[in-house]
Amino acid sequence: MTKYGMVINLHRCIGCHTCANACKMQNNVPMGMLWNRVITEGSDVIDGAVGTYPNLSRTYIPIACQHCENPACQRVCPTGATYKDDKGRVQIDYDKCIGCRMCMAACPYNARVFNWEDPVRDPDFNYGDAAVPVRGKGVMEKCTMCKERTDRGDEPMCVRCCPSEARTFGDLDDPNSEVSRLIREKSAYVLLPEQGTRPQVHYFN
Amino acid sequence: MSTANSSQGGLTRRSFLKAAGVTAGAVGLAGAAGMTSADGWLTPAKAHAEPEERVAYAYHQQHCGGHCSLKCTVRDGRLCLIEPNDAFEDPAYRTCCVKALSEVQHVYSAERIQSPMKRVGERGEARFEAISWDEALKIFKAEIEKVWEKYGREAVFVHPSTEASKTLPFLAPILGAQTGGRGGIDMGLGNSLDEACGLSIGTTDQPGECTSAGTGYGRLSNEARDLVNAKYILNVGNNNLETSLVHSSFFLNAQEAGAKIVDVDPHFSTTASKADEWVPIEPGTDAALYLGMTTVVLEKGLYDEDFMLRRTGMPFLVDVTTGRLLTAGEPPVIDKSGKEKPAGDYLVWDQLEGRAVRHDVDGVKPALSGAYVVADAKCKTVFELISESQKSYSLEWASKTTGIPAAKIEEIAVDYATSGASSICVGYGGNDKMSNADMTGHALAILVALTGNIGKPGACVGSYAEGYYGYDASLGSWPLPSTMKSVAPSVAAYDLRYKENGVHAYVACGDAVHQKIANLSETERWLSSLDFVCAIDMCFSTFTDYADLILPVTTKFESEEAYSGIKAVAGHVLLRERVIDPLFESKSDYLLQMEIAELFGVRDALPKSCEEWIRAQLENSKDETIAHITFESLVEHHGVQAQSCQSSYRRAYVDRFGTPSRKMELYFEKMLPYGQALPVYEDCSEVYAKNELRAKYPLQFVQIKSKFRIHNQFYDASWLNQFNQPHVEMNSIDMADRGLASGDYVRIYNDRGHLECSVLQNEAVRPGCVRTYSSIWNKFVRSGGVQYLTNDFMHERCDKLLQGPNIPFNDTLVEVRKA
Repeated sequence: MTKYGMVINLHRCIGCHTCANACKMQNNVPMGMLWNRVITEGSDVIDGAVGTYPNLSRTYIPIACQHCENPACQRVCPTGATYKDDKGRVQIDYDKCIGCRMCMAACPYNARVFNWEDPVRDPDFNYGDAAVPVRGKGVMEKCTMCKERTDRGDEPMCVRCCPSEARTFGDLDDPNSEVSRLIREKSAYVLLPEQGTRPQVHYFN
Repeated sequence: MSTANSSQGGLTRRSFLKAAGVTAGAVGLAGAAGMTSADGWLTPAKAHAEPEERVAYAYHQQHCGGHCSLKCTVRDGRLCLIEPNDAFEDPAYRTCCVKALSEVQHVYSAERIQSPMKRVGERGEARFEAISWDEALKIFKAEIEKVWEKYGREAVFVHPSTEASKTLPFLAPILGAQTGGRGGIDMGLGNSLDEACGLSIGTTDQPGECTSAGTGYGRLSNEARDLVNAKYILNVGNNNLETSLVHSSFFLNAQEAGAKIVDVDPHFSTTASKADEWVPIEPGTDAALYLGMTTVVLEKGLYDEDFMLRRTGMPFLVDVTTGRLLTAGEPPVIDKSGKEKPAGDYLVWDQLEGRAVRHDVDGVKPALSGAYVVADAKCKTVFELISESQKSYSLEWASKTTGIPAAKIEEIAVDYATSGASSICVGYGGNDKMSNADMTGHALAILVALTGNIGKPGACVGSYAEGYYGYDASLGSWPLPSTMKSVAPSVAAYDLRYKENGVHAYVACGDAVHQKIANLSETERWLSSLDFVCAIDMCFSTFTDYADLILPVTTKFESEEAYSGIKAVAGHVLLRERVIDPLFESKSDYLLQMEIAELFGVRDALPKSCEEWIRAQLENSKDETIAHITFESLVEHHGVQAQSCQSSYRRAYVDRFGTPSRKMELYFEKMLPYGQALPVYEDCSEVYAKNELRAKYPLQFVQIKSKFRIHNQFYDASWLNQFNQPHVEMNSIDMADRGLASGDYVRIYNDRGHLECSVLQNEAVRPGCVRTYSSIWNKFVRSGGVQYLTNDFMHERCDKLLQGPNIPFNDTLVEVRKA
């Protein structure tokens, strides 16, 4: 089986938001939404710091759908719109989504964004990959692990564009893959393990 | 964060919502919503059955040190997707950053100028009406000719921004206008560093060069790939993990390979947060750190005597009565540009013969220190004078001045001198923009010379923001007839406001004013005195407000022709293809120049097409490292081809310096009248602890370079404004003192002017500072603007420096109150 996953080296993450816009661009994500965000941990301001000057620390954490093995979003979806696909990714069947937003409330990673109104795009045309479906008002959306790209054998756009090479994409079921090696050797961890969601996105410092 | 549930902001759902970045997505919406829909110039693209899609390869900026080449997907004539260009053989160059990706929106920015505009209100009122190109060009010609008639041809000044200076080279020669001259930015430290090292002239076994190394901009460092060889990297005022995003890997790779990285910065920058250690410093006191380090190196005997004797002017003899260097009396040399240069025939004390001889004669054994008598003149070596001068700069003094503990300065000095391969990386946003920058660069040069940390693998000094360049091949130029020449300016652009000059018409290409000139009120006063002000720009920037006539040009992605540009940098030649057709009524820089040439009857002297111009630059190049590259081969290789020397790492000054003596020259004879032949510590013009002005204006106002902008570009990019809206940041201590809370509007002011915008609390900002990003457009703040506040002080000595005065933008004091 194939189980796609990602490993993110937080020391190499410089908080530049290139991944956030790579994702926005590739997936035609409207204004006011991001599928992939970079947070400055514990800070109210981007590029802030934790502590008191000069005893400070800062950690950037890029967060998108964690493509959990046991997705909280899937369990609460009343229509089966959210599903795990054959490559281990969590996907949304937009036609089946009724906009109830149960998944949004259930996701402990706050990874989902909802089209409350007709999407506003700037520029006002459908940018990004032509193969990515266009979503309308009343539909939930989130990171697909660049389904259209990874189905073609390409890396997700956030991995391709990351200027500091902080991201690695691959097959978690293959013990020889780079992602499997990094998880083993770098003692990578997942976010909010106590939630029991078993994310397929791993982090290390 | 060691685990996902660390006590500091653990990743509960609640803290996610609190964390910065989560809510930011909504911020850009307001600016974006009304943009294209309101104008209705683009019909929203519905899903087409078979959209026409193609790929084009284009490098991004002409001047940015990132030098990214982009693979652009165009669908139905619109730019839809941008990725790094895979055509680079070396994957390290396949890069792009957040700004390049944001061009998918930025190209279609709401601020784009859609047609030529004519002023209808008072100058500066920003009231315009759209006119046709025919009318615009007619006005341009008439106004220029009026000024010619009244004052002569040289009364026109063409002033390009850094980016535009590369793409509009014909405009000034077409008009016979004044242009060029000193730029006022990015050479504060380089003025002295480059003076000491000279123009880098390569080595015998190294065919390529970086042509800007030694010109005065501090681009002396080894190329970025070489960082991995460093054992110790001292980063001073250089936030390169934000300002050189696509080079961040080289820095992180060096760290992974074992280099210790120590970051000295007043603020807890991104680079500081990733370094092995952050050392906070008082703004504007970098020189005191270098002088203190030098004292440690001298006292502990950690200097590299062999390097000092062979490669530096440390043993040169100085007449202590006159302060002049002793020479063999050769006449000055005239260099290629016709300038007189010393012959470099300096004398040293030969210990074998017991007399003064030329430093470069065979078998000489120079004395490094000591006092001697040569032809009745009392002399000392440069090293002796440095040792004496250093007595004023004890470790305790350095500690008190910089605010860095003495033990920490000592540790840094020892590590730097003894690691085996140390580099000092400086930037353009720190001490470079303070009034004492030249003295600081000089102090740094001496520290480097003492330790020999230059010209070796992993050992170098310089600006890593630009020094990453690596090799840059020399492209050929388009030969112009002798009748078509621009004129060297009588005064630099920033001096037009203060010094006698004959300029009565000003043509700005890009917003050079907001990028390069401080103290905007003075600039406004000068602009109001002119007969004609023209702006050539893509967007309604801050400067376009002052124009009588605005001529709209395209972005880098648009062109009338299939190919729109070429550049040679970072070991490669890059070609730019047309990505999309020109939007609105804008014209490419190339075409606009040709149409202006047509107006003035000189069109025949210029290339018939942009392709002909590009071909000429390749064909007229004499650089053997790109002899294998043709226009056709570039097209075939998706706009990217490596120089023949690219696989080797470029290092400057490996076996010789570019100074007259071919050694690192530390004694600046030309600065004798100003008491700076050797660096004598000097406070900043405003930002120093004991300045009485602090009673009224206690805070430093500092504009730093950021990951979201290049100079003043991109303030109108809604995809970047998702993450950063114009505002200032302050430490909680200074906010509390003034009763301020995050989100409050504040008035920042001094005797020069004011700025009103919102404030956010950020503990990463050093107490005592108000920090923002450089050159925010005035229209995006509530009132006033950043450049109304900035200091434009200049030392008398500045004109003697390699690239003239550096504008001390950050040497600015202010007070802040709730607006």
